Amino acid sequence: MEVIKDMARLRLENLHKIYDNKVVAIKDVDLLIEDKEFLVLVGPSGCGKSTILRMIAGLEEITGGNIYIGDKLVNNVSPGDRDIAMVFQNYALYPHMNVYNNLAFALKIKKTPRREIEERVHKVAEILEIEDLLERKPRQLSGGQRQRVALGRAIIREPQICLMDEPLSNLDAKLRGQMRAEICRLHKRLKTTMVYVTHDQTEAMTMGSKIVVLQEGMIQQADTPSNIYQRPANTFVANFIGTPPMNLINAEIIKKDGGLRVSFQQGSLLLEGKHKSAVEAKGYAGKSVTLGIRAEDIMLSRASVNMVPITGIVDVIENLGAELHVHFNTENGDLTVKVHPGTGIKMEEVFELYFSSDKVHLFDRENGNRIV
Amino acid sequence: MKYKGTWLKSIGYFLLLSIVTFIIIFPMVITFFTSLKPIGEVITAAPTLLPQHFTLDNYIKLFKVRNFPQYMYNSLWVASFTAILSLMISSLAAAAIVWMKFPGRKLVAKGILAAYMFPQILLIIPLFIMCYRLNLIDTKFSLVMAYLSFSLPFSVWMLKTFFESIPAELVQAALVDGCSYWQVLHRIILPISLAGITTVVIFSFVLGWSEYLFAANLITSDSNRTIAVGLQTLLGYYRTDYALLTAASVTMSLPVYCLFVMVQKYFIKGLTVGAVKE
Repeated sequence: MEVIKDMARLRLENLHKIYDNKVVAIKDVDLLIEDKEFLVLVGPSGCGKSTILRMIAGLEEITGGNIYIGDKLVNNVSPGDRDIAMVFQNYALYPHMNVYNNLAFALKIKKTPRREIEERVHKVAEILEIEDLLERKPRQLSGGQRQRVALGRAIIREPQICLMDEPLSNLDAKLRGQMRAEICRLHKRLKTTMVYVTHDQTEAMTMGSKIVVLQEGMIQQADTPSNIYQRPANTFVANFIGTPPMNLINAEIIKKDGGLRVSFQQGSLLLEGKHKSAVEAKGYAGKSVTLGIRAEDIMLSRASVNMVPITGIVDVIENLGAELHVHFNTENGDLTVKVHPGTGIKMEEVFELYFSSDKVHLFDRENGNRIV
Repeated sequence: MKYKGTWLKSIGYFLLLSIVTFIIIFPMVITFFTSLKPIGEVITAAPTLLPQHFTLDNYIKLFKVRNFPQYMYNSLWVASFTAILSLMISSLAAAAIVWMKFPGRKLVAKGILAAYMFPQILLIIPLFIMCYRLNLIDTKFSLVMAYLSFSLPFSVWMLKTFFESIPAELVQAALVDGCSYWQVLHRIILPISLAGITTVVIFSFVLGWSEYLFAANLITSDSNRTIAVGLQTLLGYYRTDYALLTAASVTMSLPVYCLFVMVQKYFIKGLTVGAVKE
């Protein structure tokens, strides 16, 4: 189903949401979502991602700021007039209507001619492979089927913007994987701007062309999945995105032998290249920092001279089939390392863990912001 | 052994339920069979449950005597309007309390609950004076007004409970689909709140149909009398035709029985709403 859309850019300007009991849910959110973009809002429970989505939909009052859909200010526009569609976490299918009528409902409200309704319902049912289910009521459908119907109800309206509030969270892991791919395919086919809310960072990384990481109502970082993973803006993003989370170690930047080193328990690493330049330029010499290192960047054998061993005792082994996530007890706290299953690691074994300085991420110890 | 214990338990429950059912049903059964007896068999030294001579004379006499058909019509008018108006007003009020944000919303809800606690008898004098000043004495509408003052608090509270059990996302989905609040109410909420609606309808209808005190005081003419008061006119000072009276009682209860039979499925569901967390 090819759909040509008008420009469906979404702009959030200085958005605030404060509830009656003075709780600040959203603080100072500025965001531009380009036409046809697939944006994912991700963060822990209570970070405000669903609140932002509901404000875009018009289901939540805005305390401050503006929302523009295209060039139109929509702060006081009712949800039905914003040309948006929404898929809810618990599907929100109308229980007294069969699948056909659930799909057709919005078109009937808009007084679309009956023939056109029938055509569009069958078209959408074909895309989502739910043609056999049109006479069934929601209670006669499985979770995955209900989710397809909920998606169908959203896309049949050919909205400018499609909002999805954790639509896969009620599905089992296998179905979730299938539906993720399904939604991505749908996005490519329909070329609609999509805003997707999830607390699952795997969903965020695999689906979005742009990810916005939220914490306590504030945007921590808005960037491509690749940049967010490789250059997290602060320790929160570093810890939230990535499986397993980034290892974070307390460290100090020290001057030694004419160079700058990042020092931690059991050793220090010489900072070179961009790391050295950034630390010098931002004046972090002699200051406390947080050193971050991804699990896949820690090795069990020394690969170069500028690598210092950290002694670790195997505490937990998580077998994921294709790889092991091994948790080590070290003097620098718990470190997680990705290891090939054939390594033959056993519990309580002692290993030397190595990583190089060009793989480390440095963050300000106080505010958690990225240094380099 | 275990199987025998279960079987004995079932027999025990069945017997207990049978006894309770018998105690409840027995007066109705006696009333019904008495209505089919000639007066000679009713007042007798050796009464029997079943009539020795079945007769419909009591029913024929009932519809020819006095204004009994008129009483039935008046009661049907009053009860139906009470039920319809009760449903219309309480559904709008409950929807507003549950889904609309306005100042004093919680206070309004508590006020409605407080109004429900008022004993009806306390309202007879103020309502009478109000109807007198509005020239509504001896009109069926005065009864509808009076009954609405009792039925609305309960109806609003009942529907509020039902509406609160409806996921908010359903309302939100309908709003996003382009519905106005009125469309959300009549296309989404009411169709899925049949249990609550039938409870409100049954409660309001039965109230309007069988209420006596206000009907006896607000209605003065025979032509506007309702069946509850009309039944009382069958009680004579010196003698009472019990066969006629029982026929009137059976006739009076028939519409309510029919209503219950039609909507019992939804009514029973309504009794248990909120009992189990979904």
